[in-house]
Amino acid sequence: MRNYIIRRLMLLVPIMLGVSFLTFAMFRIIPGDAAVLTCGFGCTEEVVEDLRHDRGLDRPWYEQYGDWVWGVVQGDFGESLTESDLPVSTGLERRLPVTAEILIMAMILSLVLGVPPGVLSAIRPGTPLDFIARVASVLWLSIPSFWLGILVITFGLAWFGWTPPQFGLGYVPFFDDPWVNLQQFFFPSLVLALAIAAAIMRLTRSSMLEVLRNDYIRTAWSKGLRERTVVTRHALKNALIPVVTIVGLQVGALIGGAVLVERVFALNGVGFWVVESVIRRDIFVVMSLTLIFAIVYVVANLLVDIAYGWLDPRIRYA
Amino acid sequence: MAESTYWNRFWRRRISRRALLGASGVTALGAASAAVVGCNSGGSGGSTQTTPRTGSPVAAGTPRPGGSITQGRLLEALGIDPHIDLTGLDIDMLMYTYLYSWRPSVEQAILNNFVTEMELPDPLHLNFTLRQGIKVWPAPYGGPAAGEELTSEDCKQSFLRRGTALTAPDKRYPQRFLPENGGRLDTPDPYTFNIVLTRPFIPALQDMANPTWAIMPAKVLDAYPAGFSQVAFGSGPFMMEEFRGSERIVLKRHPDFFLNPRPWLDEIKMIVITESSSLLAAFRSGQHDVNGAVLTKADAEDLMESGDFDVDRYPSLFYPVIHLKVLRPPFNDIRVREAIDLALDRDDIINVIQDGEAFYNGPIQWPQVKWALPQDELRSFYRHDPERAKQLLAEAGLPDGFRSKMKLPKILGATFVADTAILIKDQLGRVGIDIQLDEVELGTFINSTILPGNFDMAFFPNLPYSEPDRPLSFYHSKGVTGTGNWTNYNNPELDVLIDAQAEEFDEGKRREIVLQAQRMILPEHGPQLTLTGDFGYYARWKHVHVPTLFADLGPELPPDAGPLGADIWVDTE
Amino acid sequence: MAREVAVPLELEEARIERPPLGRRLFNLARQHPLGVFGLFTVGLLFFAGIFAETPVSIFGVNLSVAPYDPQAIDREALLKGPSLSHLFGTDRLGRDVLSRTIFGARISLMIGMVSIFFGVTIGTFLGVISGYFGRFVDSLIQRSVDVFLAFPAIVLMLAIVTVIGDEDSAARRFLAEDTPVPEGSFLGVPFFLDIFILSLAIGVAVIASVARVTRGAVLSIKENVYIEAARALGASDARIMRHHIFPNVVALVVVLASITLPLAILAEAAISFLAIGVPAPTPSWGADLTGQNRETALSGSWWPVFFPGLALSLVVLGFNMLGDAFRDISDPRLRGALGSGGRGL
Repeated sequence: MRNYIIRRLMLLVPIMLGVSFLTFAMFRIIPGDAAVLTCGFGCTEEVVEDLRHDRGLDRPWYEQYGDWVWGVVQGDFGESLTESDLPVSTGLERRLPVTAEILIMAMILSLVLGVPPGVLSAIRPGTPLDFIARVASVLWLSIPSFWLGILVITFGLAWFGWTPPQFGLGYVPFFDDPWVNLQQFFFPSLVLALAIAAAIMRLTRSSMLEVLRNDYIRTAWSKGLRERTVVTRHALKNALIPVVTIVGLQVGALIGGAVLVERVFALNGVGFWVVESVIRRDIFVVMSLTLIFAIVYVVANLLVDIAYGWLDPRIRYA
Repeated sequence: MAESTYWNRFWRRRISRRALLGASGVTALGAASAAVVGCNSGGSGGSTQTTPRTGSPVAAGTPRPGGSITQGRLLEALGIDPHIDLTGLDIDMLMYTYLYSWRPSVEQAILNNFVTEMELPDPLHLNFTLRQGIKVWPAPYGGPAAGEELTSEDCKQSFLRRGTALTAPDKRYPQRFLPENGGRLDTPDPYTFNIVLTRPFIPALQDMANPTWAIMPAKVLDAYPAGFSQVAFGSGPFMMEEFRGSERIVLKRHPDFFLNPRPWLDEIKMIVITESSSLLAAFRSGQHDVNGAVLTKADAEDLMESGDFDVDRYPSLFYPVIHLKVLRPPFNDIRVREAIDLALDRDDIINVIQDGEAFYNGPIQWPQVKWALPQDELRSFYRHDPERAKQLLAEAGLPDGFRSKMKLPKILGATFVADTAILIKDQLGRVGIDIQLDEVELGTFINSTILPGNFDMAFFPNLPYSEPDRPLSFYHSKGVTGTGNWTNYNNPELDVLIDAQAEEFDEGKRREIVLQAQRMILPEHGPQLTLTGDFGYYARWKHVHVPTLFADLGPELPPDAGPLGADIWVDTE
Repeated sequence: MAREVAVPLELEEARIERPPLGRRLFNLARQHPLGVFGLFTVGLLFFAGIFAETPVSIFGVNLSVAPYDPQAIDREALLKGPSLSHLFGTDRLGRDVLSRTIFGARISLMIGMVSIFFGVTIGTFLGVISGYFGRFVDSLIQRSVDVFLAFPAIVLMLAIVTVIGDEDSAARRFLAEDTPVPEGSFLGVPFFLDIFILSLAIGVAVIASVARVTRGAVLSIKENVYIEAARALGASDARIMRHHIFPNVVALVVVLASITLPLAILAEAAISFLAIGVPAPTPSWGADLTGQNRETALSGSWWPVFFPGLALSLVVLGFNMLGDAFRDISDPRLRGALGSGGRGL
């Protein structure tokens, strides 16, 4: 098992290099660079050249890329080219916790909101409860998260005179004030979580239905075990296997969703930062961020596979 | 000060970060010919006002110390170095000391800052006597110069830095005083600062009051060669407590400010919300004391009706114009340009986009009462005559019209640019001119479209200049950047006039020249086609008092009005 | 030499009388009401999208599905609420919201179809090659897929739109001049080339996951005995792929396409929402949810924002329900689950 994990983690290196190099190459192709874009009205050819030289953008490509990679190894992610003099690592320190918190809360909420209804729906098929759950899940699956976010804010203001606390306070880290922090993050995470909860609910339901048909469940029933025991001890673990798979796949979707939700709810995370930076040609920011996203992706998938192995004893990793 | 809060509003509103470039003289309200009207003073201005009306009455009640305000902000502050960065200039105005403030309605310097006496013996000499006792922020806010007094040496070093920084906007004034060009910055004693220019430059007086001319302690300048984009060490009414440009900026009161017990406020907090509807929601729900979102007339009226807010309307100096590349066919034919001008329906724009309340703009925008052409002259010149337009096009050999591409910038949070462009497309379409709209991201727009002149037609709002020199320079062969006119327009006669007004000290004569220049420009129907200008809205909750807001428009400017921010106070419950 | 196979009598008699097609469909519809709803919604989408500007003559009155040109500015009716002349109201520029919503259907449909077609065909192709040939080719393709999957979709799409869509880029010039893709207005869509490029960008984001899933399917198909038999009989790789692999993959591909089409529509709405998608006056549902419309909603004018959002939700809902019903009918075991196809690394 340990070897398996190590081997998978070693895959990180070529992926990270691939991602960062691809990003770098992309910026060489895209017309316009940060020097040109931030130069301003007083811009002449010489000023642009000076700016470029100032920021090291006129060096040969291998030097720029190599320098950056070497810096990353030492923890220096370069400097933002548009947010004057701001080290990318400072930006990361400020923004990563925000997005991380949104994603973690969304993940937790989606499991909490998805699995129990799915299980209930499966063990009571055909009842109104089942029908409601299925309709609700398709509903949540279809409403775009950004529209939902807008509705939350619009109706929050119109009906309750409420807006999310971060509008007035800015971001409050969890360890500074847990209660305010949770208030700030609850709705954005909920909005993101609903669609995934719906998918999880449906998957849990169908998977559970499958599992419940199996012989060993019938054995458990005939042994006279209570329903709760049958469901939780015998069926659930097996039913969750495909759910875990889906959860892993959703990480990528979550990051995309975070971009939309962060803007509407005024949470300064890495989501919209990466979009803005592409638009502003802020090359080192984008490279650093895609690197981090790649790491998250690999680690998430690894965790999924480990969970897979834990849930299904038939799977053994050499 | 009035102009600084106005300044605030600009930076938060209809411009994006990039559109703030090249700004000189970007202070102040234009001298308001049109009504500046607040909710409490009642009535709304008609569209043919020509006499100034006073603004909101001086705030009732006495200022008291304490309290804080939270202000909404649409745009990120990418950096706050006043000599280099442009997106944080409104914050710089609260943090740094300036020579003086400017009162554009009477074109006067208000000596409520560093300068106590000002002498202009001749157009080439500017002599300033400086105030004693302006202290840099205490430790740890003040850095290496904490607690020390500002002197003329600090002025000199700051001016040099501003004049030579790579990305500093508009270097025409520094060119005239930099020692390498033959100018001089003299500091005979710590409280005397004299500037000697190589050539006269009238706009300099207004220029030096704008936020890019911050005075920074020389010791700090030496200690931080990397610059002040993320840090600040100043001597102004508020100190930098926390700077996260894309999120939250917190300013704290300077305890040793020379106008003690002012500033009244203990703290100013600015929260950045890049989503305009969320920003408005934050204001309406009370989380923001001062509004940061762009308001339309409908929004403003809605706010006024609720009774919880003070909303003031002020003339906007932004002016969207259509730029034509006059050397390219078909725009090189003046009949075609005139046809476009005639096809445009400015009243339509006023009704659809500007809620029926706006004025015609000539080459100089309407709020600059002293310099702009009179409204009736503009209205009779800018007729809407599609029939005649079609005739002219036929005469020019284009009986079926023509197609062209119009580029415009994508400005988040300000859709009026795209909306106006859509309307223009509709209007021009009626005479057979088929315009394809091409929306370009703002940074790319400025640097790949406008500056290299890479367009046939371009449409964007010009910056809110509050003096005549810059708007006129669009028609100068050197252009507004000083390095070339991106529309390729070249009129030597006009050049002479524009150069002359920049050096004419006598105001009456200068006005003559400026009007003459504009009258020469109008029949050219290019290279800029100016449209209309409307109003902006400044909204805040009733417990926030800004006594000097718009006050410089009338006779009621309090004699002891301080620099920006010093006079704001709140009802503390 | 024909051989007669005796069919037992019981089997003959047990042949079931199948009811006529119409009756069968009716029963199907009754069992899956949500599916019918989905079919209706998707049908409405296609209808609105295709026939948006088709004039229809009813009792001598000329109507079209979309009552107005979505760009037409009605100066008499700026930001007016729903009324008889404008069923969904007008936006701040006096444009009819109903017409914009209908043309939005066309945009969504167009983008969805182009992107899915592009993404699914290339993705399937890559997946089949990767699964079939294995080893080096497989490694190469799957590692590249990894790299692409590691990018957040929005960044990938934005990057492609920026690279290709930029005015001066060689790719754009190639598309504009050397291919029959029209650059300006086409089929009522104002900036056809840019929207086409946007579809390609979304398609690229789809390629990676499709490639991964089909590879998994091909791997399991490959294990079948008849593949070995075919190879033993001397069939070439191409023939095997054509006759054995592809047909078995098709069903999966169709399911994938039906799942990703609504996702593509949502993706376009999302990036237009961020104002980096379709160019300005294009009546896309996502674009109509932006900035100014949201602000006016706060001041009470809810209709410019509400109807496009509703349309978007309904369409995605419809696709989901339709897809569900389809899967229920064709293979009850697949209900709700995608199978274990895309497991990640």
